[in-house]
Amino acid sequence: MWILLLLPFIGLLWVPFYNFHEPALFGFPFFYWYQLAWVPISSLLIWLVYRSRAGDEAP
Amino acid sequence: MADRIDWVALAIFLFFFILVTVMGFLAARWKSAPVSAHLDEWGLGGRQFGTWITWFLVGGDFYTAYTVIAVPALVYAVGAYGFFALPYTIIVYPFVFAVMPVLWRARMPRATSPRPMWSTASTSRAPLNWRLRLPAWSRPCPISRFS
Repeated sequence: MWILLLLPFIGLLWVPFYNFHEPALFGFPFFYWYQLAWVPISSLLIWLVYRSRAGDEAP
Repeated sequence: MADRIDWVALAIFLFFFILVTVMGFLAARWKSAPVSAHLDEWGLGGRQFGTWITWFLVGGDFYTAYTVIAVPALVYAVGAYGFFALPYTIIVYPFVFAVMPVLWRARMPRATSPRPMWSTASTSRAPLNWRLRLPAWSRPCPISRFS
């Protein structure tokens, strides 16, 4: 499950993935809304990993 | 233009300045803790606030002048290039989620202390988890907001 945390790194750190104008969403070029879309996606991925791991025991 | 005082802007500034100052002093009494007895109560701003308020405190800590002044100024000056700040902010969260608990566990048995203690802990003791070694070469941005 921890591998999911690498997806935002892959999706965001390679700019040629999203350096385009089209397809626009509500007038926003793809470049902008693609990056903003990663905010909720990353939250979801972190939540999935958080849910999957064993609970923290207080040392 | 320069010698004219914008009273509306000044009043708004003073209102929020005084409001935040008063709230700060009230909050210190509202959730008071044995600050002198526990280093983490002092160093981490206290553990008395609970999840909900701490979420806002972390947000206020995180989104500093860098976010509200430096990045908008950069975008104004050079355009979309300044958007590096957005991916940077996004990938910091999974990074922190993976790394910080490891630091916490590595440090916890001895004491709870802020970051300056980590380096001595990590060089003199047992080999560290790989996740602790990542920051050295994967630091995504020269401008650190974890100041």
